[in-house]
Amino acid sequence: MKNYLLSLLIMTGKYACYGLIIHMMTLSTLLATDGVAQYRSVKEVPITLHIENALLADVLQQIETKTSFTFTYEESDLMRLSGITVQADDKTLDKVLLNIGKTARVHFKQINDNIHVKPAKLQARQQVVEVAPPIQVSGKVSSSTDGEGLPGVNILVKGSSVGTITDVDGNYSLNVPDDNDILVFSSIGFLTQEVPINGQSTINISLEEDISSLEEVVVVGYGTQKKSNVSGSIVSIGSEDIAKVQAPTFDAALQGRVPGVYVTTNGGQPGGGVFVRIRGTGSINNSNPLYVVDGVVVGAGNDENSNPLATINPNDIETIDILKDAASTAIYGARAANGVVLITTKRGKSGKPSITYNAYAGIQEPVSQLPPPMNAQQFAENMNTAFAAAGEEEPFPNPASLGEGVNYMDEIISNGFITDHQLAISGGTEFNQYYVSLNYFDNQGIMLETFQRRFSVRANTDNQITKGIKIGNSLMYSRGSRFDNNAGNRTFIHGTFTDLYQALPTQPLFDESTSTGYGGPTDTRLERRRNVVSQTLLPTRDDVTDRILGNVYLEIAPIKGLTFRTSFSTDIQNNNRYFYSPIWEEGLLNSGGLSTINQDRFNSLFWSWENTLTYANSIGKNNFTITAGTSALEIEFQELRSTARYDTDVFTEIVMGANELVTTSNSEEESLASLFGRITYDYDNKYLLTAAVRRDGSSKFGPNNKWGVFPSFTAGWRISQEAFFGKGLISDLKVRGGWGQVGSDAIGNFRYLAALSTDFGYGFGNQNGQASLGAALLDLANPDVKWETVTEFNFGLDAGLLDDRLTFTAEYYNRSRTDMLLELPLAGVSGLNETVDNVGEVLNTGFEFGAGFRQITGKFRYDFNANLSTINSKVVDLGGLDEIVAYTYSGSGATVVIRPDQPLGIFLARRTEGLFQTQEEVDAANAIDGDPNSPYQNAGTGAGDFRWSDLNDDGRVDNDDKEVVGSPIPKFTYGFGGNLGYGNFDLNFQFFGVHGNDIFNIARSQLEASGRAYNKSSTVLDAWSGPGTSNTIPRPHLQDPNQNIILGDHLIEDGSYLRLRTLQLGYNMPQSLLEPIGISSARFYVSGQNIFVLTKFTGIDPEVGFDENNSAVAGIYQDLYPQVRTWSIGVNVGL
Amino acid sequence: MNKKIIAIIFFSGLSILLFNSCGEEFVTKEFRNGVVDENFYQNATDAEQALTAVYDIIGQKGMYREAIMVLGDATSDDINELTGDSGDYGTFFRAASDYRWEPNNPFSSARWYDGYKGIFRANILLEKLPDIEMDEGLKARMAGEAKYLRALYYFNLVLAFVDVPFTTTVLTRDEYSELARTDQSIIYAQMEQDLTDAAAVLPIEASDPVGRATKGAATGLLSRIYLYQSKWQEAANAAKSVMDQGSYSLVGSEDFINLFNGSLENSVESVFEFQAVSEAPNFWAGSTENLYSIHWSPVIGWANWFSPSPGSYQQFEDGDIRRKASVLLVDADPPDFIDVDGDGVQEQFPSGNMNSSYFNGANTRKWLPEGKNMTQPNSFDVNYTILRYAEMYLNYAEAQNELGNTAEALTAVNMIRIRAQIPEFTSTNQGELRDLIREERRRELLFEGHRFFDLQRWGLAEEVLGPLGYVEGRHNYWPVPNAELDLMPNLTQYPQ
Repeated sequence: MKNYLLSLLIMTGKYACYGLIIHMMTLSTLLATDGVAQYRSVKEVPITLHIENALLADVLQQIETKTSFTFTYEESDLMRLSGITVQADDKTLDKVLLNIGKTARVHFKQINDNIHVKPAKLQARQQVVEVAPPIQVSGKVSSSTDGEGLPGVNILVKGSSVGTITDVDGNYSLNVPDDNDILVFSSIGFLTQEVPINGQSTINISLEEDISSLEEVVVVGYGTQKKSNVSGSIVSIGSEDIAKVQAPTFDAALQGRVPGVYVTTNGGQPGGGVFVRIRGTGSINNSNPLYVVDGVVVGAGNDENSNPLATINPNDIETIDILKDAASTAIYGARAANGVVLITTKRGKSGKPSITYNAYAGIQEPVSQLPPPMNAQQFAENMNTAFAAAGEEEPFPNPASLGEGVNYMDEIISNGFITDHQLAISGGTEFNQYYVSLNYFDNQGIMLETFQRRFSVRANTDNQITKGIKIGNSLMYSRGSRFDNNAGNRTFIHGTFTDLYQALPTQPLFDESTSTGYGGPTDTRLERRRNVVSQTLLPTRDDVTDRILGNVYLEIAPIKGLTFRTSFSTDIQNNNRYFYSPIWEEGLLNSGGLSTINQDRFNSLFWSWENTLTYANSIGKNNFTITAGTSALEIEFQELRSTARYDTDVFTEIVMGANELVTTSNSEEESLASLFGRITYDYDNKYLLTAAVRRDGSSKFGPNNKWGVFPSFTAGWRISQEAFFGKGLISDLKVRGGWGQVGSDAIGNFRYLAALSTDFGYGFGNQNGQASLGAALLDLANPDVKWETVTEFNFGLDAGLLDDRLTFTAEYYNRSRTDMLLELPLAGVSGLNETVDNVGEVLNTGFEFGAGFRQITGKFRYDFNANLSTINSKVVDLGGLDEIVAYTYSGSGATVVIRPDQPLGIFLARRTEGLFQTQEEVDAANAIDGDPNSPYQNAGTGAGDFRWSDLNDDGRVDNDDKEVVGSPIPKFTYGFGGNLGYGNFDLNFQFFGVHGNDIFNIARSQLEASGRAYNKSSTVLDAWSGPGTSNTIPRPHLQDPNQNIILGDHLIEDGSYLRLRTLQLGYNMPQSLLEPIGISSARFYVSGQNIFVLTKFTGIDPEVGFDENNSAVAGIYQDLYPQVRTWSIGVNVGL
Repeated sequence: MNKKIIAIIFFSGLSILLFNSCGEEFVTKEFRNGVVDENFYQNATDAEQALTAVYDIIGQKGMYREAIMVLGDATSDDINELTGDSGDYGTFFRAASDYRWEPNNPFSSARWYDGYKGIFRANILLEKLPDIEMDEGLKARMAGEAKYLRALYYFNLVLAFVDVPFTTTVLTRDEYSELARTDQSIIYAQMEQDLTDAAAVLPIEASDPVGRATKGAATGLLSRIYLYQSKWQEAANAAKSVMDQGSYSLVGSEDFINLFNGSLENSVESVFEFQAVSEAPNFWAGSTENLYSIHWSPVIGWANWFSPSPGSYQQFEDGDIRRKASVLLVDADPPDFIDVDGDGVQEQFPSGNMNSSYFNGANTRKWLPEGKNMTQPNSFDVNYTILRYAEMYLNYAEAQNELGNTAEALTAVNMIRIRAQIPEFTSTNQGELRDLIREERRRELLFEGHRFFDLQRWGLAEEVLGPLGYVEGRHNYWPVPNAELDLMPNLTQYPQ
């Protein structure tokens, strides 16, 4: 068995190798042709070929590989003719073919680069090799609505594979085999038209627009489907819409576009994390959708700080198809629980090369103006008050003398810069098409030393190597680097933006006396904060990721309707990070006399091999497509981290003799094997049925529950296709429904095993830097752990009115997630931390509405879109637990909790009743429990401190006095936008909004904290200073005896907002100006991104993102890189 | 044409073969980053590693890294915490000091969780040991060490939480959840048994490398445990037994400070110490905790916790060498210098910059490292004293005095005073001497995690700590973590 398999594998390897060689050769041929539909006659092409006693098929294949010709034939039996011998040294091809023809008794006829092979007629007097007389047909294809030439129209000689496409002006020229042939003109969005040649040499036609455009296809995973016949929940976004949003990543372009798809960023840092939630967050585990780029599953990762999708160039994307419901995603089985985003990159079309250059450049600034930090004088006065309140000596005898001091916010924040350049060439012959692009993107953020840069190249090709056999590839290489100064890591101590507020304005920026020239803290009474400018500029850093992502495929279509496809994909990523900080001493702070070098390497390798067999046919009015496939994938990940410290600045690489050297490594592997199938059936395009099933096996689970099966069904009824449905106002009407199950395996590897941790060393012998190895169990294994299961019902209605000018979609879904993978805490008395178990249920339900209206022909063109989605999230069960603490804020305890019968991730805090205005109020509160000596809140509470509600009526306030004070889940999200065109001008805009969610503004508790000796927001200038002066900002007091820093509902803010995501005004240069200089199109535009946001939220931005570690934690505002507004100018040029 | 069909059949066949015959193998990965439970406990090396993991708990937050000082000292009249800091440390230091004792205090929680981790690791090792093929002598010694540590951890749990859930075996997940509070007398009986067993098999001499439990450590802890139960005769006997070993003595007066600053570790006065080593550069990660607490380093700008109360330094008589060794008066005039190296010259110690001028004007001097750059977290590799020979004299004195043997008691307590270079006590009045011994115990063991628990067992907590906010019946013990109550239906909260 094993030997048999081995030999199979070796054979496969050989085939793959041949495939590659052939591919490379055709690719080089392709690049060598000038692309113009010129061809050479067989009489002009020399060939050297030695082959003996071979099959005719093999001989012809050899010739194909050596020349640009392709043989076509109808009778396959011919190809089995054997005994063909060719001995040719630099002979012209016609001579070679003549010899072959004589032996094999076949007839060759050259048309363009095709050579037709037919059995020779018995009266073999005529030429065996015939060069067709050049019957040339040319003309222009235009649009019936505006008379403009139509580029990219396919023109085919009916019943043959001879054809061409129109150029950018709609002109074409074609050699036809016979002047009685019929030409077929087709283009997406237009009705197909057939024209008999009848001996004409010029055929000009105009194509009628297919207003319904319902024949669009959507990508459904391992195949495509006619949009009109889709009965699941799938939305497509085209490249035009993606191009309108100037963002480094495509996911940002989805914001506000698609009902049920909520896109949010984690701050405005270059290349920062973007979170996409399809139909809400359904789990506390990874809730990111599955991303599939040209069939390659790319890990979206779950990193709030950076975005792995940032390495993918959005300019290369042709369409994004989003599979929302479980019935549609079931074909992706175990990893599809959060929806699937299918990305298809651009591919070449036959015709002369199309060269496009797109570029823009812009400046960036913060969207919101925030209250500045206090200046030096204000800070000094505030500190004096705070120290005096605590009975300490005032640290600043003369605040007025300090003036403005240093504003570190101004030192760090300035205008950012963004630019993008994309050069793409695409085209090809009828049989070989290519798309090649080059991209350079550079974004300097608004904060010092924050940037993202990307260089990428892409080559996509499709090659029909012989009739019924195609090979091709999608291949991308990119190199990206970024640094965000830890912005967006949302930590509190040393969150980058918080640091700017807390930096001491009395601390000089520069100081000659320190080792770095930057100022440092000198006053021991104040908190010692590192100079943020020095901290940013002193170290040397590098963070570079190289990525190769792509696949190679082979497609065989042996008989009509049957296609076999095998594809091998890979995604290789190498990330190198480097950090070097020299020895420094700034005031009271120093690096301990040591420099620091970090060298980190992260490598990941993903490969997958997928095979699908698809059969499509129609029997009468029964149309069906059957797909069956297999998939195997493996992911390997390795990391190596080294930190070295030296007592000298000499070394900038890690060498011998470090004072400290720590190196750690880690590696992980994961694999998934799958079988899947799908049947799509419709009767007369009226009654639609789909059934799909996938079986997945994952290495993440133990032998007890390794395999899972995920079925789905959908049905639809196109009422408008019925005879009784007259053509009236409603032009299209479809109802559809579906049910499906999908899974999620969002846990770490080996959670089913009881692995011992070796982190439990002890320092016997008291030797520094060493410890004896200790090993113990940390968690309890659960060998039965299995998939999370999502079960979803989806009902939808699609309608088109006024000849589909107005379209409308409404959907309802009910998505239940059961067997949620929870890390359940174990009783501490067991001495173990937790165990993973499948428990609990979360239910998300909602409505989604989308509408569009368009008039896209004529002088004045416009289209509008609008969408609205509701989300209703409810935790149904937590496996018997009353509560899971999702997030704890130090000093305040549980802050975000998950409770049954509540939305996922609600906020828990004290209720604030304003400030005590007088000591009498404090005394009265202390006496509530009958004992005036026992404090109501804290022993030192005084006038000017927060008063909290005694929610449990026990006469005192403590951590039991907390209740649910808010929820981060919006009541609804919405978006609307449109395109307006008049003559050569076009205008595009898109809004995005969120309504009814709360944000917990935790940052304010620190930026207005009274108990700390660092700088704060200037809002504390309005702090309480006597009865009636403030009821919201407590008194400054260095010791904060009341613990005003504890979170209360005064920090809960309305998180609703409306954002103008993008606005673009473009102008197309008239043809008359461009033609003389050889340019076919040129468009200039000015664009604004993120122009304004309307919100009541007082923080940097209401878009506060998610927590990467726990999807249930949302709506927490701690530290955020400001969102940026971008103004840019751009150009699109086509040659 | 047929070739294509063959190719399809070939590919399809290959795929299906792969997934049906090799599928299971393909989706099963070998665990390489460690050892799996069922392959462990096979030999002496495994046993050694398992035992090391029991020791590991000593250096965890809930034991001798942090909670010992928070639960034992911050709660007492020796510390007056005034910091207004937020975050994990300041807030909860202060909550402990101010008797805002809530179940989520990370220090009391850590005591609970770490304590039971240690007990679980000891229990599983003691269960597995008999079946491991290894040298029987070594096996007996390892069992002794495991029992010693189990007793140490249960003792710390009982101090903090009184009657705690109790088991000496490994239970199932459900059985653990069913546990309820067990009367502390039953747990004390087990500690006595474990320590007696351990003392019988553990060697007298220190281990090599140093740090393992010895016969002296077991007997010494036994003495303290008897003392806490007012079993005076047994306490005296155990203390005497340690003295009679002859392997311990008090270090000289000039070296007293060096017991606490890392320059005289594992000395003749050391009975059992937490072997702190500077290890983890990423000390915030908390994975390797063998690092004595940077967290109350007086040189970290925002970490000015652990402020000695005036009473803590005013209790010393003039000339008591322990005053300067224990407390640093920050703004004293003349500066509060001390002779660290015994050369007779008073010098600044610690030599680094201090930032404790905000509050109280004082800082602990015990546990600050000698000759180290205190801005470096890994400088704080000062061993923490768990059992010191001086305590044996104090235990012996207290027990003998309670038994009426005042002369014996006087001799023992004066050993401590002689070393402190202050006049010897002379009173033989049992009541007077009781007070004197208690005062001496406070001075000698200042900031070593004893004070609150001593006041508690003497019945003095309400009298001494009441004015600071202590309420009898409410602050005798800590509430257990709330999460435990959710997971353990039979567990009750303190106070009820």
